[in-house]
Amino acid sequence: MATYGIDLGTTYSCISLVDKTGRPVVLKSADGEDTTPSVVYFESPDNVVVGRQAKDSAVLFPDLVAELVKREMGRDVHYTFHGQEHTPESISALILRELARAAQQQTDEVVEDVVITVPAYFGVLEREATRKAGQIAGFNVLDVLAEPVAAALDYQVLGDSAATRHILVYDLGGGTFDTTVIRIDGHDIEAVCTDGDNRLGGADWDSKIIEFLLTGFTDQHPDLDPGGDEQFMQDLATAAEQLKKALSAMMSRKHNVRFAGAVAQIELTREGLESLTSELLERTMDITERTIATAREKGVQAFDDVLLVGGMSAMPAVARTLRERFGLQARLQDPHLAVAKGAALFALMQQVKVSLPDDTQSGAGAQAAQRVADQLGISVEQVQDMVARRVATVVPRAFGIKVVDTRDPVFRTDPDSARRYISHLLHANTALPADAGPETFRTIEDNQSEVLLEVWEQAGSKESRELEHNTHIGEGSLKDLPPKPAGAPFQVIFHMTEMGLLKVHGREADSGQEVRFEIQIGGLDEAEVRQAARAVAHYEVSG
Amino acid sequence: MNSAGPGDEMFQAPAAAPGYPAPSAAVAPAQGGRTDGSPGEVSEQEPQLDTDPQVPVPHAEETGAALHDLAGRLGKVEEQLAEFHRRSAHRESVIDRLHEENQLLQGGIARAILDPVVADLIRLYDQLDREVRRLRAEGQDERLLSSFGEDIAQILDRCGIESYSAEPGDPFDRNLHRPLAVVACPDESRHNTVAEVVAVGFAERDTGRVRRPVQARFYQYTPGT
Repeated sequence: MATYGIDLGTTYSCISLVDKTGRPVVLKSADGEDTTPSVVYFESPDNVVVGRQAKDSAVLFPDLVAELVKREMGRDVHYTFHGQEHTPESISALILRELARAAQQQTDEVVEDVVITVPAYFGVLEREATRKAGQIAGFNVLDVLAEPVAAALDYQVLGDSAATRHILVYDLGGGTFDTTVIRIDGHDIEAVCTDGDNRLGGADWDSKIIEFLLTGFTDQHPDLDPGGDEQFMQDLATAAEQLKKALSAMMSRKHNVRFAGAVAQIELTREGLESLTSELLERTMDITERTIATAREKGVQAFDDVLLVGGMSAMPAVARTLRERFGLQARLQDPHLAVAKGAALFALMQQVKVSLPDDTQSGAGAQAAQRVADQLGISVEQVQDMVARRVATVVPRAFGIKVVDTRDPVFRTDPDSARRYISHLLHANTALPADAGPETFRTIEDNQSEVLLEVWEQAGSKESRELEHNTHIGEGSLKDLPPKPAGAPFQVIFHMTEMGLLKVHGREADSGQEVRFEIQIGGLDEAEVRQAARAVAHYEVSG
Repeated sequence: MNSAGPGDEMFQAPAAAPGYPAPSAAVAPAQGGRTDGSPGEVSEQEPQLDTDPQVPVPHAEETGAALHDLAGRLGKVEEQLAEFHRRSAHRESVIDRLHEENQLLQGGIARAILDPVVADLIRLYDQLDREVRRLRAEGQDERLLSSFGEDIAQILDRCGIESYSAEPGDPFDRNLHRPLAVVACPDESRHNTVAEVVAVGFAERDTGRVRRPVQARFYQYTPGT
């Protein structure tokens, strides 16, 4: 039984598997393309269409088409189509089902075991939501993997030496941009830090070129206004994409823009394109600079490899600017499929891990390792190396407790109006499973008999103590405290599992009073997942 | 997985088999008959040992040990041979599969090369067709441009791509149509039907697969328009 890697993207998705020669291959969509638009059209109460046709149908049925749902993953967002309620998870599940259906047409095999990739900046909430999307689609989700780690696997830069390695991944896709630093320490792989902009991508470059061509035409024919003609604008969008790709290989390209019997021949040089879009590239470089600085704070002084991921990173200006500005030598290899292929490799690693006994060196373990090695045409040592690899999940955001600022002057006169802030116990990028505390907090009133432990998660891109930069995710009360003057201490301990289950433990030492509660980070509970799976299973899905 | 690509060695000559024990190095037993040197009777069927009385006959213990050693070595040879055959069979199956895939790929390459050209020809046809319609609407002679368009359609036809169109009033079919825009219409019965074809569609003759759907504007029921 093969395992599959899925790059579940904001605008496009892709499915891959490691074939029997041990190489990752991408399986084509129903349209014969490498990728499928992540768009779902609810054609009828029982039938959904995913992909290009769904995207086209949005013009006529905007209320029946869902797109860009990845941006809402894990959030409490609901959609209703033909009276059926949906979540970002259930819509993603439909995209996953179409990918699996198209894959099955090529492999004659039902897709079951999968690894789904997520951006490195996804929090536990979004990661778990993605895992649930896979479960709703009926898959056995072996794991959820950070996209840059998947790319690094495809680039085969993880190395087999004991030395610690650091890799910078620059990922410029169609609609999002992010940079991530990965650390490989022996067999452990972890994301050191990540940064990005989920509203910056190839579409912005296209818009600049379209604007350039349109202006070029109207400058020569000021009496004509082709901007409102849908077919003309569609032609221009196609031309812009072609020009962008062509100028990665050529220095100059001409394009004839025609409308209403008039023509304008417009030339765009590579230099011109770079100048036109310099502000966009600069934004990615500023984010890269920030990422490098953060990595430096975490002790990363140099990078062993710099990888370019995402179709847009193939522009020569990207590698050149990274070299000129930061002295980085970037590698470019199959950038738009690297994530899906790396996910397939990781899926295989996970499957090998599950199917092999712990000990692959002797007895039955060695035989099983040999079998896998034969199947894949790789050495037993490579299989053993695969099994030993461990990709660490980190807490991408900080978690803490809401406290009253007793140093706020207002506190003395009106404690209820005094400033509240978040005291973080678990900080971003802590490897999971993680323990934090015991941290000591104090009561604010004399004879305070109860303390409300409000747990908050960082909501913005940076850790901040301000309430508005955090989200309230759960609470529990520490009750029956012994009568004591204000300032009596009590402790709080956090423990977060790899699956995002946050266990909170509050205790008062003298009385032994304690409270324990758990918060599952990740929107839907098991019953909701089952219900969504039933709802999704009844649809006929096509591409 | 390290940087050496898996399966890189699959085309190495299988005969090399380094490390196999050379058969000539094995201890050869004496030809036929009993070799333990015991003083038992010798039957007629058994060939006489042609032993030189000057040559010492190996002792039973020595021969036994030699046989044991031999058996062990033979066992290893058999094991290694079996392993060799197993790996060879795997290599063969990989080669078979690669061959099969290579055949498919050759067909795919033709398409991969042709696809962008077809897409460009379709775009060129679209633009010519639009100009032809504009000239016709203005009452001008469009025949020259129209002839170029027809030539392009024929080139596409030779590539196995046929054009198809739609008629105003045809209901929306997501397999055949790509809506470019909507046109408000007070007649509910015309909702989501073709109002105007902007560009014809193209499909593969052999498979029927739509390469570019008909681009059209569609009516959308809007009361009071």
